[in-house]
Amino acid sequence: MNNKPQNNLQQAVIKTAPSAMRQAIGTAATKTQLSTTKRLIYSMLSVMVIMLSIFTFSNQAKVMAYVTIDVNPTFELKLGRNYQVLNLVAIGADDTKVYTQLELSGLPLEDALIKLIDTLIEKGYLSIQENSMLISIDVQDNTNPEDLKILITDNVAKILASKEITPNVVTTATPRGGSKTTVKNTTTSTAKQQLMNALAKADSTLTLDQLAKLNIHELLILASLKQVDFSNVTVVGTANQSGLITKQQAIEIALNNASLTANQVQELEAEMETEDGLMIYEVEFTTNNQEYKYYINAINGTIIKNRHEIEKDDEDKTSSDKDDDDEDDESED
Amino acid sequence: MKLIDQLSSTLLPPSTDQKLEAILQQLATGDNHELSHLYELTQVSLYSYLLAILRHPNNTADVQQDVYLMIIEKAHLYVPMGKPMAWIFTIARNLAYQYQAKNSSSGLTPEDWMSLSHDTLSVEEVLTLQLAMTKLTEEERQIVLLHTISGYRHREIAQTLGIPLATVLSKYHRALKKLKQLLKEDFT
Repeated sequence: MNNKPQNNLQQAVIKTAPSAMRQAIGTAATKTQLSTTKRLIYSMLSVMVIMLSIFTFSNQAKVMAYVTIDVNPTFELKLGRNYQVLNLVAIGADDTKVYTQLELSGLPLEDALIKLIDTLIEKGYLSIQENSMLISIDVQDNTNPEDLKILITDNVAKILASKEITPNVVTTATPRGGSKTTVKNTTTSTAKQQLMNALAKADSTLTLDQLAKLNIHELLILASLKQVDFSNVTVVGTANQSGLITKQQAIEIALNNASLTANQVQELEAEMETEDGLMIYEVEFTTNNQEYKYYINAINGTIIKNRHEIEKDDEDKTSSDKDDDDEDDESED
Repeated sequence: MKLIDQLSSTLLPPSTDQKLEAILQQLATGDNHELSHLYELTQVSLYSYLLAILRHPNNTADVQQDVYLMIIEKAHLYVPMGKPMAWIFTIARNLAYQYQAKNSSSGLTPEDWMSLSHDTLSVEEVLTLQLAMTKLTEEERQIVLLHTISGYRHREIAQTLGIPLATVLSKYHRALKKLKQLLKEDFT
C-alpha cells in the first residue's frame, strides 16, 4: 500500500506485455525518471560551473596583501595574485585625483612602486631632506609576510637610491589573521601605529596624541634619536636630519636669548621633544638663582616658548610665561 | 517565436518528432530502410496508447502490427506539420476502434491478467492494473499510460493528444488519486 499506484501500474503493464514489447517498455518507462535525474545532474552541473567561475573570478581579484605606504599622505596598495597591483587608494593626499589617474591596477608590484615613487617625488612628498617612508604590509593569504617585506623594502630602497635619495624605509609586516589595516577609518597605518607605540614606550613623556600630529619623517627622526628598538620592523637607512637644527644650535639660540654664555650656566640640558605636533628642542639651564627653560622649534630654530624663574627668594619672584609662535626675539629680564 | 524555433532546430539535436517526420517522408518515397528505426521510436508509446483503448496486451500487439502496415501504406498522405506522433495516433485510434467493433471483447479479469503475466504479479500490481483498466476513462488511461509507460512528459502528451497542458495535468493527478482511493477501499 505504500507503493505509488503509478509504480504498480508500470510494473504490471511491463509484466503483462507481449515478450517482444517488454524490454522496450522497461527502457522507455525509466525514461521519465532518467530524464528527471538527467535534469537534476544538469542543473547541479550548471550550479557547479557557476560556483567554479565565481571562485576563479574571486580568486583572481582576491587580495593577497594590503601594502600601506606612509609618506605623509598615506597610500594603500591592494596586491592580488603574483604580486599584481589591484588598486591604489590615496588617503589624506591633497590631490587624490592625481593618484587615481596613476592607473596602477594590473601592474606588477615593482612597476607600480616606480610609478608611485616618481609621482611622490614630483609632488614633493619625497626629497633628499624628506627621505622617510613607512610601509606596512598586511598579508591576507598564506604568503610569507617576511618575503613580501624584504621584496618591497628592497625595491623601494633601490628606486629611491636611483633617484639619489638616501632611503630611509621602515617596513612592518603582519601575517594573515593579524590586525587588518584600519587606514580607511583612522588614517593611521599599522606601521605608523607601531612606530608611535614604540616611541611612547621608549619615552613616557611622549603621548600618542602628540605623536599622531607628527609626520612620518619627524617620527623617524625622533625614533632614531630615542634609539627606539624596532623588534619586528625592517629599517633601511636613516632619516635625513639636515632639515633640522642640531642640539648645539638650539642651545646657542637659547643662550643668546638669555644673553648668557655656556660657561655662565649650570645644569645645561637639551633634548628633542614633541609639542603640539611640532618637533622641538627643550633646553634647560640654571644660573646662580635663576632657572631657564626654552622650547625651540627644531625645524626653523624659533623660540616657541620660554620661561625663567628666580628660585631663591619667593617674595621676589618674577615669573613670566610667554606663548609666542612667530616672534623669536623675546627676552625676559 | 519563429526565430527561437529556428535557433533551437539548428542548435539542438533533432527531436523524436523531427526524426519521425524524416522517416515518414522516406517511407512516402517507398524507401523502407528506416522502418526499424520508426519501430524503435514509436513502439512503446503506440503500445501504451493502444492498450489504453483495447485493454488487452495481445490484442494491442495485433493492432499495433496493423498500425505499422497502415503507416507504410499511407506515409505519402502525411503532411509534415511537426506532429507525426499525433498522425500515427490517429491511425492507431481508427484501427483500434475498428478492431473493437469486430471483436466484442469484454475486459480481462484479474485472473486473466495473472495468467498473461510472465513474472508473478503482486496483488497490488494486479489490482492497480485491473482498476486502471476498468475504472478510469479511456482518456485518463491514455494520459497515465503515456506518462508512466512511455515516459512522455505532460507537455508532450498535451501536444500529441491535442489537449491543453492544464487539462492533462489535472486529469493525470485525478486519475492517480482515483486509483489510490479505489485501492484503499479494496484493501479495507
